Amino acid sequence: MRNQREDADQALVAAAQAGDSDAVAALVHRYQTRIYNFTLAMTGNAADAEDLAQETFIRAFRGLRRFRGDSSFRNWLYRIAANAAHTLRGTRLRQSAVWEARVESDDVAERQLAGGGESVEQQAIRRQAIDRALAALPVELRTAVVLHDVEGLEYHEIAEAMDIPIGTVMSRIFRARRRLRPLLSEVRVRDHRVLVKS
Amino acid sequence: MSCKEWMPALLRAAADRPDDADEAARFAAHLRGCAGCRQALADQKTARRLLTDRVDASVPAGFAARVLSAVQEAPRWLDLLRWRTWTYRLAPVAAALLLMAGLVARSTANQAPFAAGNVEEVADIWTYGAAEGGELPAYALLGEDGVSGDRLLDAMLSVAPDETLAPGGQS
Repeated sequence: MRNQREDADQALVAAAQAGDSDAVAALVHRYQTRIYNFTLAMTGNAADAEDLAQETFIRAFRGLRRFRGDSSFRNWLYRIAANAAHTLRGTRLRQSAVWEARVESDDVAERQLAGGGESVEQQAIRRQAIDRALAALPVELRTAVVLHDVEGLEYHEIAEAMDIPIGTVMSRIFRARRRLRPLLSEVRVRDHRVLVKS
Repeated sequence: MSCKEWMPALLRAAADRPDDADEAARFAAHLRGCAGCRQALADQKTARRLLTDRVDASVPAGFAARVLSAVQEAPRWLDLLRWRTWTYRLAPVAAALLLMAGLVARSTANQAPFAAGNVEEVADIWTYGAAEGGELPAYALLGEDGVSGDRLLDAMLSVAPDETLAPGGQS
């Protein structure tokens, strides 16, 4: 059963397929945050994430005439983004991403010690620590766990987006979390404050 | 049952997809007596909570504008990569070239009325194909066997340069 978001998407997609550039813009604005954060979690650095997110939208709109609505537009975008991430992995993913994230994290931590941290910075620290941990996962495990735990897709939606059985989705997410748990040990949430181990 | 045998139940519990009541009760009993499985399930929930709490990063300024610009520009050069597109667009040109090649081949079948490489002459005849004084138009000579190149050339030169063949084949 379709929800309101999917109904709205369907109308925008139909308009975009008919050449309505305003509908294209509306779809980009509607999903830019989700797709960018997905690609950021997949790549671990802002530059690759932006390239990947842009590539995702370009591929989507170039292939929009072939989109028949068998899946939701959102899940179709995630599928394109995941495929693009797999492709990018083998070509030019910035190898220094983890190191850059660590340096940036340390800088923020130092500013916190010096002048009292802001919540936005704390959030950035935690996000970078999470993305750093995610970067250590094989891409198949990372894709599944990011789609579920970060992006909030249901298991059957991930199965559809990744074109794998739902049992495989469950297994990949389980294995991903098991590997992540020690890697996430540097992230602590206590009394709504985020601390990062040095 | 060993922990390995409880793995499917552990997977479902971690995925919040519970078994039926009987199976869930049996797994709960196993968990009470198995520190390893309890820890594994707790780790799953902790990792999930940390990931779920990840706060979104802001999209870079101007991202949407760059995407829309790229979406509008991309088709122009990427269309060149689509063989169907340029094949269809070049089909009329290919047909014209084929027709001209056929005409040349037919004209050269008997006595080679055209020197090799005189394809331009054929094209010119098509352009200035009307003959004066009620004679056959020059292009009509192409359909006749044994017409010499000199005769075709005479017919072509006898036509005023501004007289062109009408679309219906009449001058």
